[in-house]
Amino acid sequence: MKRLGIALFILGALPLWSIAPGATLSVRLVVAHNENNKISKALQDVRPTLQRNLGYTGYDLLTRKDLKIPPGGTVDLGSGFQLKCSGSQKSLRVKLTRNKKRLFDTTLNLRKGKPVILGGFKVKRGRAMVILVSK
Amino acid sequence: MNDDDLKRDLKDAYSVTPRDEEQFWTDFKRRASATEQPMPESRWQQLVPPLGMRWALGTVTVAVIAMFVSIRPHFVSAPPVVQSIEISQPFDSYFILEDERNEGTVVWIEGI
Repeated sequence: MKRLGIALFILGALPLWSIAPGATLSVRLVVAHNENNKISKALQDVRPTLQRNLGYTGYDLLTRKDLKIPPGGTVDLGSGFQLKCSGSQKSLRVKLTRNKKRLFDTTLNLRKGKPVILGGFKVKRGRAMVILVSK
Repeated sequence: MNDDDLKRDLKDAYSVTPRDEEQFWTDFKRRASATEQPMPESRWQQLVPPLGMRWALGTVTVAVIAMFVSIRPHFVSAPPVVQSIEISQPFDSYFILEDERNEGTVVWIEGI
């Protein structure tokens, strides 16, 4: 009976290893364009994903903000964009607004260090996107 | 030899003198103790492994379950990154792309 108790304790404790205590969400507002082929230095970590999947030559970083998830919060990204997020890394609810008009509402299951690019919004120089990375 | 003679001769040859009860049981117990054999194991006792083996089996079972729980995420396909999306503005099209090589996800909305 004692052995069974120890075994059950070990099995019960195992899932705790996979629970992240919290994460930092990096939020970047980026403009993709074809004006030149420069990519901001602060986008080097996502450069392969951008170049492989989007047909633009240049990427400019406009804003970068960090948020703790949970609890999340609201960040003003400039150029009229505002991002609100709540929940945890495994189920993060993200709302993006531009000039106080809601663009979309999404729920994401983020993986640490793996970027999620939400974009395609028309801006003067090209297309705007928000890049989310959980760390 | 007539019948009576035959009966008498047979009785003399094979006569049995009954022993008293106490003598019989004393003799029986003596012989039984001299040829005592172990009691056969019950079916259940035959099936149960010895104590050391039970420990080993228990340990291996716990280790296998622990290994399964810890490595399971690597074998089970991961849930999608985009669980849901609701676009609030009129749009032309959108796509969700999971880049397996770079392990990134792109959600691109056209015409917004």
